[in-house]
Amino acid sequence: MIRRGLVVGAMLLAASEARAQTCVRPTDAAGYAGYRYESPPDRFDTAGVRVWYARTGTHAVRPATMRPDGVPDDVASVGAITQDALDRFAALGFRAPLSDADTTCGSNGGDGRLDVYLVRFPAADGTAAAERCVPGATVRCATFILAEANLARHYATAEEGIRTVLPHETFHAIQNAYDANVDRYWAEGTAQWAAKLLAPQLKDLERNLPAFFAEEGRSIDLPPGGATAGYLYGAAIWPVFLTRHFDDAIVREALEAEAVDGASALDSVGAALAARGARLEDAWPMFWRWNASTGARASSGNGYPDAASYPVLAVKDLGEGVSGITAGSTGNVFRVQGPVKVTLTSSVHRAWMVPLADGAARLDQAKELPADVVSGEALVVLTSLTPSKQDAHYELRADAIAADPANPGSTGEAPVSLPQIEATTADDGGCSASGAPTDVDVFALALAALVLSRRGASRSKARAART
Amino acid sequence: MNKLVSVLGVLGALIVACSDDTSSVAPINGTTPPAADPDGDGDDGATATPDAGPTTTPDAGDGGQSALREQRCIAAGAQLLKPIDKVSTGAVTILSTDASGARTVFVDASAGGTMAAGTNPRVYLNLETATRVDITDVTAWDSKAWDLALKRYIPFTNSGDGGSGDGGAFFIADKAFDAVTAADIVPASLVAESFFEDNCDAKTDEIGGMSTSFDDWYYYEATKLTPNPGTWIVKGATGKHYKLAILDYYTRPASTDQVSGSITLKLEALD
Repeated sequence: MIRRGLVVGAMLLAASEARAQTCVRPTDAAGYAGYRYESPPDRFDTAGVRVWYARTGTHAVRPATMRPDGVPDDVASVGAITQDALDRFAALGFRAPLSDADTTCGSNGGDGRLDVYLVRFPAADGTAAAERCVPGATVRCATFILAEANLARHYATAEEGIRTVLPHETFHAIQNAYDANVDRYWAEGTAQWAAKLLAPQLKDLERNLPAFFAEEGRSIDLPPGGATAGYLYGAAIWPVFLTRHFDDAIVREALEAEAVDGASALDSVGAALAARGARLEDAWPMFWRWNASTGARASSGNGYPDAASYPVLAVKDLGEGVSGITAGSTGNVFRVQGPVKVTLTSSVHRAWMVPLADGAARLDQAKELPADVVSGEALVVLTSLTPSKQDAHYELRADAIAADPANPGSTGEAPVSLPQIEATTADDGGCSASGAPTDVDVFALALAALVLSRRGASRSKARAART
Repeated sequence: MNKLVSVLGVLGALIVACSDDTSSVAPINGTTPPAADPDGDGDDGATATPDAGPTTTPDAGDGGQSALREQRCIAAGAQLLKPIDKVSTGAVTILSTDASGARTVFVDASAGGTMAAGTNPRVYLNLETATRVDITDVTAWDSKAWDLALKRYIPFTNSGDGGSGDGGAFFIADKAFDAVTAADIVPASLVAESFFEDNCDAKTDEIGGMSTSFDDWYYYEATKLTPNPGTWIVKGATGKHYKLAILDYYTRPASTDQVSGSITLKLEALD
């Protein structure tokens, strides 16, 4: 059972309680974290959302409007898109954000609506700030959102920015209704997944995938000290896998499981899988087999529907074999040339052979080691799934065997049946192709993620403003 | 075999083929010792008894365990530190020097921006000269030419899990730079870097980032890092002491741009 340290939990609670007592917002004289309106802001209401905005001063929104009531179009879009996100997440069965209707804080926006404050960020797009936290099995908090007043600065259009940022932040508010201390990769990954669910045409999820694919071998639950914010966002590929292979409800059910006892995100997913008769121990290796089958290795009819457009994981040549160490919950991919018999020695790892046919991974013929690669090339996908960060040793061997001239390329094993999902093709890249940088700077977001995860105080979606 | 052959060197050497790989891999029949046997003595490495030497005998001032020097947590170390085997191109510029000799220094520790930071190395700073030391994350491990490593918001000293030096640092909250003197040096507070718990879990700071001796340098709110008021006492790799203040994290010289990892420091030798 992966669980957070009690000491950390206590610290988080203390921080959350401290924040709850602070109770300040940009509408207050002191402002929130340096964000303060210079004059009383205007507001725009929907059924469940109140958008606060300034027409002049530092935090002024773009004034353009086609509306008879004179409310700026950007403001109305923020209200409408945030409301739509609330409605659609509710329709999917997610909890509503905790209400801030009580008056224990001086500032609550006047009612229980979800408050969105439009401000000018120096280098970010948005943040979800937790407050009014309630201790229990998990720390649950009400939330208000700060969003960039002019998202056209960072996106092709303001609407694209609003549809990218506001549903993401709204989903953080929903997470806070389950557990304000969701593991960071799961908090950001599922927020990305949720925003993509509402607007599949947007490409923010895909933009951040290279950062995740570039860190093959990194434990998904490692503190993000050495990670880029893009890694946390790119971890959206995990809920993408889960919902593609299973169903959309698994994210909600994992949050429900986490709310029971504050279990780790991996354990919570494990609980949701168990309810389906599946095992995390099997889903995790399959996740990495799918990850190994992207780009030019996209497996037609199997794996991610958009696998061909995803970056490719780096592969190492297995040669006659390798030994190595990993720590935590990881995936690594090797390439091997047949005819060989591939075996794994490890008490922690699992490894699967995936044949390559014309460069494409045959996920339908994947087989757990030991396995024969009679001819041609194959991938060997090595995974570990453990909360322990101590060195976990493995040895992979590729021992020569006689080729099977009657059946080149055959592994001699019956194909494994996997979901039939269409894929297209794209170019390969190997080691040098992954991790293509973009001009998006989401550093502040990573830090925001740290805060939300460790302190339950704030969640953030930041984007590269000027790097 | 002298285990001084750096742990990070082992990590760097074992991280084959792809610089982004954060696992440690060695060919079974290759010339590189496998990570499972980092000291090459034929056992699994986890219970090895290292040779005597700096690897296992902390320098004065180390003050704590070093999981990497003890050759524990090798894979976790590779993941957390992610050594990049190239030299940083981040600018280090002395902006001014005052009458007392205190220098204001700009360090571009942005590492290419958020999305590229994972594939760019740290900037290594020599505090005596206020210049960049052109070494890689891998070779830095065995070098005492640098005193402070910087990349994005995570600085650390050349000591313990951070390097082979005799460094360390502690913070004097709310004490102005100019008011700090050699009398403020508290040797016992100059602990070496220790990045891991006994079980190899990474130590984290208050908000979940990688823990170093510089944990308290900032406070974070609403996407911004602001230096906490106060002054750092830093012991360099060779034992010399400096006072140091982090002034800014975003501002680039002669620019209106605000870029994360654009660090302005003030520093002065204390002995």
